[in-house]
Amino acid sequence: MSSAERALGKLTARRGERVLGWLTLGALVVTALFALVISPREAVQGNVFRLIYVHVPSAWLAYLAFTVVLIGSIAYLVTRKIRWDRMAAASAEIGVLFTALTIVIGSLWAKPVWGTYWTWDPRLTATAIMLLIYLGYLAVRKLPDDPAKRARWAAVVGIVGFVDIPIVHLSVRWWRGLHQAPARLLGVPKMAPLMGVALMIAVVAFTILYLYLMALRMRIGRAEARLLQEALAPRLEPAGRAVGQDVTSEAPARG
Amino acid sequence: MDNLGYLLAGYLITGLSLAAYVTSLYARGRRARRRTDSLGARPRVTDRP
Repeated sequence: MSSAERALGKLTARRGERVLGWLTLGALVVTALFALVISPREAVQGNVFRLIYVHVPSAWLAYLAFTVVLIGSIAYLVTRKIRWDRMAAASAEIGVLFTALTIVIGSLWAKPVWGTYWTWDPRLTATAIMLLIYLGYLAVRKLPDDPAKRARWAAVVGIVGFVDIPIVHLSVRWWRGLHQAPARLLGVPKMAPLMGVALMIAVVAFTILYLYLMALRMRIGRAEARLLQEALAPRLEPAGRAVGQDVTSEAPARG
Repeated sequence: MDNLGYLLAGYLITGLSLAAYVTSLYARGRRARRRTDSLGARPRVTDRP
């Protein structure tokens, strides 16, 4: 077992999960305080600008989650260890949630600022395509019954789908559109210092939230794998006769 | 330009979505554990004396 796998195991143990849960809650409370109370009101946009403190961290989490899908997919194809596939599946689900949140919050912000909920701006279009790609990834995982085939197909989609991530990120530089260029977090920030601090806190808090959701989701992945193993194991009926592979019934053995 | 309604909606949607996702994950975990326990109570072929 590699050190990366050992670290992942520690993080996803129940105790680690509880610690992460409390850390996440604390970090999100601090984020809400900075986002809604401490950070100043934006001069032109007013209070609606405060949506940046959930919009940008959500987009960051989507990037992070899909990068983990890429890593898990490559690691699975190289090692053929199912735990990498499980990690990629968990991360894709979380990435889809945060991509959807990015789009919804962005639309709510766009309405008062741009005058419309949606426009076919390059950044928005590339983000919508990213959502469709990873919804496709989750759909592919439902297709084959054979776990090895499912993991292989999903890994290929997870690797090919990642091509869209740099396109989403660089679309604001490559093409002209309504979406603003990214605010710098490192180096000289383009925003007021207190706003920059609030945004950094939000990004850190969402990263902790991602770790917590991953720990939770991977524990469920392991529990579902154990369930499948139990369901596929041949059982004895009370009379002592093997009943073969009963994968659907929860009821006691038929008499 | 303040548009507090959009701000409120954005934060509410984020909070509710996250709460719903975490709740669904706990429910999924409980369901998997219950089914595993239920199946585990039935003897396997390899458990036969």
